[in-house]
Amino acid sequence: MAAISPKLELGAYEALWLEKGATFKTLAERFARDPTALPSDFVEPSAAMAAADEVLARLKASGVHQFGVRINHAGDYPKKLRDARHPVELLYYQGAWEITETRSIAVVGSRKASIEGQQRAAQIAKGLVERDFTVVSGLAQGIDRAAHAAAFECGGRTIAVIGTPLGQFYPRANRDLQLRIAAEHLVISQVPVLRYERQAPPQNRLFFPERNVTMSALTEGTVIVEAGETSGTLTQARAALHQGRKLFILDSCFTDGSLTWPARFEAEGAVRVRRMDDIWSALG
Amino acid sequence: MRTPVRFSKIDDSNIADHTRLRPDDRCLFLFEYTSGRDYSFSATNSLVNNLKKKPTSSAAQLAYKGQAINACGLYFREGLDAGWLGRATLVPIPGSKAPDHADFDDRMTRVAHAIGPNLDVRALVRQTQTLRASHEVGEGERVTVDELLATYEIDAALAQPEPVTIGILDDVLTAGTHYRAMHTLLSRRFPNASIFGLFIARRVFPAP
Repeated sequence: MAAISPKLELGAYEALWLEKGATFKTLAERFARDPTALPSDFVEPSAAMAAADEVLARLKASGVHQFGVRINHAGDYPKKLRDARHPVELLYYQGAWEITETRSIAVVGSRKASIEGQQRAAQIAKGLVERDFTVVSGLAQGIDRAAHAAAFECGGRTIAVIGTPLGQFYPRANRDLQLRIAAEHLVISQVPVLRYERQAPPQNRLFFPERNVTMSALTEGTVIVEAGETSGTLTQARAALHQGRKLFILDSCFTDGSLTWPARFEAEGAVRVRRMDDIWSALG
Repeated sequence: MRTPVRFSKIDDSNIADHTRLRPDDRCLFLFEYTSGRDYSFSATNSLVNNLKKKPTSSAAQLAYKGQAINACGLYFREGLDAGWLGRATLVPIPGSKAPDHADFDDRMTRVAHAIGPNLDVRALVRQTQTLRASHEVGEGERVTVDELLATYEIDAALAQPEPVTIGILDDVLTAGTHYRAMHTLLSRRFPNASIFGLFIARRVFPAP
């Protein structure tokens, strides 16, 4: 009887990523042409199983002894991910997937954040927890770390959508935080394990802004605390607007005269946050 | 538009969560729920809790149970191959209470009937003694396959015609004990039948 084999599908997904020129865009286009297809429909079973065995061994060697996958068309794959321009067919995770069923907001911003920015991120995270929202972020330095840490401090739930495969840590300083989020809440990665291992660091850096698109799709909205003109955070701003999610930009970004993006996104529908109540009232 | 959820299978990436299963067991499931977390907000958690409500619950609670039974029937109908369903004998896992107990629960038989009309639904395996439900006992006190086999028996009155393919129906796949006991008994009695386990959900463990 036909059924989805998680092992076969993760192997096939990894094998597709090893094809020359594969990107989230090319893979999404392939599945868009064949919307009922699974990764294994495009890959020889032996190649898929070989890739799967390698992934399982690699994850185990990285200390990932318990993980899961979410596959489009199987149970528990969140339909909201299909709102992304190039939706992912498969995700890896560690922790409790059920947390994706809660109301959630992403809090993101610069890695090199100011002290005030980190305090604002923590304040927003605390307010979200008080309202029973899950705090989602990208486990980078700066704003992301402040948001995750504040969610823990006030006893809330938090999801990290990381830009590395499971069992890899960037920056290294966030290793303990990533392990704790995996053990107590949820870490999600859409990054293919074998491709990441085989290509050079400059190419792997592209996985960071791409995970922002998925982070936006998972959540009801995104709060941008601080971001420079070329920050990867702006990928998430664009994604939020494209996906019909709420986009909040803190007033301090507008008052920084060196930045042009806040006014641009406000004109496209972002909410300028002068007081925290501007966020809470928009969330209803 | 509602798109059917496809069944997933137990393979060697996830079989370690189900210690009593054997590598050649063919078990399919729809959803997963995380062990040890009381996530009442989760749709699967809520579906399974409603499904398991005791028959002695209030009428209002039993209405939720009825809705859960219908929802599970629909999931099975949409997720299973119609041709296979037409050939299959669906065998519900008996509840933990024997038929003479006030809390005797035939929920999986009701789910099987809710899948559709004219299906071959047969409660081929009877439980002759009442046991505590698995969710009512601690992890260390869980029943073994042999203990279950001592209380299970084939209902000979239902054994003909001989099944060609059997779907053992249960709500949640945990260690796989009940499935293994059912499989053992059914494969002894019907050695030529291919046997599948069909579950609404499997329980998974959070990261250690």
